[in-house]
Amino acid sequence: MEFGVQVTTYSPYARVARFTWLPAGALFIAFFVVPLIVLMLQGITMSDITRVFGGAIRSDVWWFTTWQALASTAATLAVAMPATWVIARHDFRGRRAFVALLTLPFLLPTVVVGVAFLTILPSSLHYTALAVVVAHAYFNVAVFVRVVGPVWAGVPQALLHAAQTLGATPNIAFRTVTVPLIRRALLSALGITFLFCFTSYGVVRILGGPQLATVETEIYLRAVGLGDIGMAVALSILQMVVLIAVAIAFTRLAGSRRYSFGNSTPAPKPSGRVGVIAAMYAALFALPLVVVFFRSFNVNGTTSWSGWRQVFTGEFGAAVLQSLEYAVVAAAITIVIGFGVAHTVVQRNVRLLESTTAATLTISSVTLGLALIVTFDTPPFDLRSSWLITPIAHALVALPIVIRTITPVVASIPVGLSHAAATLGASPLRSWLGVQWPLARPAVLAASAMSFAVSIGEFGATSFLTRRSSETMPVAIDRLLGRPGDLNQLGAYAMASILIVVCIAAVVLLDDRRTGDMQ
Amino acid sequence: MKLELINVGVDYNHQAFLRGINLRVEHRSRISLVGPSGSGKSTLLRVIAGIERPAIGKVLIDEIDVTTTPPHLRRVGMVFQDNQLFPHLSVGDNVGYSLRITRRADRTEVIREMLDLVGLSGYERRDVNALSGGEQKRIAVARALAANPSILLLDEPLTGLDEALHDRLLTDLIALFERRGTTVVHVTHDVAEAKRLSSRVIDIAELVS
Repeated sequence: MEFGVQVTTYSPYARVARFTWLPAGALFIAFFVVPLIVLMLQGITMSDITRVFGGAIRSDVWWFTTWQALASTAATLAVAMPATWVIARHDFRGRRAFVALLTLPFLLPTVVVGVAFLTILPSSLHYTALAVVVAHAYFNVAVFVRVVGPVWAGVPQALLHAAQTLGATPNIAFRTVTVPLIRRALLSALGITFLFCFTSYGVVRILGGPQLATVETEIYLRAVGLGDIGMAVALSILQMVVLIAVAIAFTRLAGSRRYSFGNSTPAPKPSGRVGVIAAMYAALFALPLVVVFFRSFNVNGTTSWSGWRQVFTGEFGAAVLQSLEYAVVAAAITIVIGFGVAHTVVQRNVRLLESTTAATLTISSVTLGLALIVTFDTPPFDLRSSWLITPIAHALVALPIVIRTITPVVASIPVGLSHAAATLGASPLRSWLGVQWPLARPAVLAASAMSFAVSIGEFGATSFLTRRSSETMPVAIDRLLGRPGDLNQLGAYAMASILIVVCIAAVVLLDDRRTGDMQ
Repeated sequence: MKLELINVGVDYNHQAFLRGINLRVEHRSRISLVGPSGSGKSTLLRVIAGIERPAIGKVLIDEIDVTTTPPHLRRVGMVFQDNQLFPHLSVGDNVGYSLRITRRADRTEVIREMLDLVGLSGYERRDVNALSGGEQKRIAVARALAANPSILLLDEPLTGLDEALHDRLLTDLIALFERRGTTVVHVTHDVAEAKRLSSRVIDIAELVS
């Protein structure tokens, strides 16, 4: 029981909220901050730095990484804008399902997106830059839908009408009114997409083949394939510098000016043209997923369930079980510590905590994996052989998403409810169990599903941390696709299908979360 | 410019909302439509501006049928109830919006002239979001007039202003329209305001058949 210092409003959870962030803080420092410091201080020598700049790395690696990221960002913009327009400016039956379908690829493991495009693209396009760019566009449309969509939806229709009564055609009104008002969100989406494409790993590994290498795949090749840890670390650090510079540039470019509007006018009824565009996108976005499932039991026109049999009973079952085990542990870790952080953020109003934990998003998962193996490879901290290191890495990757899912819902629970419970004689614990927990439960469920989906599909850090005996589904898919034989292919597609189903469940639960939102 | 509505009907949610509207507004005249909230006054203005398309009937401007003409080709200006100033543009850029579209060389002079007209000289560089309610209304009028519309539509232009500001702005607007000879269609629920601004005041209920 506590009365705050600045305000005297009773809050039954304020005292305990002082400490609930500590587990997250400990995990963050031990497995993120320390490994990054170790990576920077110990794993690199001057000769590694001179080798990076001295031409030891193929010059086309940096060039390809940059231009494919630029091309992928431009392609994503072109594909995403019509879909975002449909979602932001129209209300139609099935709109929520449409948004969920366009969001789904972003949650899909990058390996699965790679596999899907390997299936639908003609073989002449396999292992080409075009295949990588197309897959990146498919993957990142969700960024525009989720970042630009809500801002675009908020631009009042009446403002565009005003422009039209002043002589602006619909195109001019879009260019002179809509674009400036959504500019900030647009630049954010462009920046996020560029960074994701620049650090793309799974898609490039699957669709780029051995010919095309990005900085990320080069880091993996150096560290795991060639055992050249020094060079891998030097590349990671250089890449981090580039990423931070790009992030700062986009933030500066976007500026801080936000526009707020009152109640927006109701969305216009969709025309036939809108219906056609929506149907086209739905078909295009569902196609790769359907084809992956089809290929899991069909090889060269023949139906065979041997891939699925192997998944449930045979050789591949170990990877499925291993992935499930890691995902359950990672979800448990993130939920417990994420809920603790959410409580501190809401009860103590410590917003800094939220942004600090989001720092894991700025580091590529390949760099995280590398930092963990570099740090925890010597006694007494030799955790490389410990099974716990993989779910911990997954938890770090999922933590910012989990915190952002739970915090708004915890914040939206009216404080008056705990006051009412207290006046009815409920202790803080009783009030938490009877009021807070039931109301936050849908968000916790959604966050668990998100964390589960992130863990089960994580590929970058996992490819460093697992061994042949403990490989996860994405790692197994990558390995099986590189091997000949129908059974290997069928098994890879069957596992990709399982990952798709998990992600669909996560998206459905995420969408359902709103029922728990008090606001 | 002469405006004519012939047997205009508007649907709302697939149901007949307004029916049988006939109205004639002569060149350089000012009329006011009065009626309670929800009576269809603003909808009628949106039909004249081209923002709403009538389910039946015709809209004529100078004998030309503009029923299906999009708003940007009608030369009908509108001052919206909540102004709808562009928040990302300065006062000068708001007023000069239509001039920028048509790439008018005398843009700076026209902006200055319009700001003089509404009594806000020197406001070009100001942020529209930082203006008072009365100043925002004046900018909305200046912006509409800068486009040199053939007809000006005023949708509850003085609603929400305090009494002193309401009276001062109304006096200024009347003087301004007198000076420029603007054809005005004005809607309001305030009969006194309508009587002061216009020579003809019509209850919208009388228009609806």
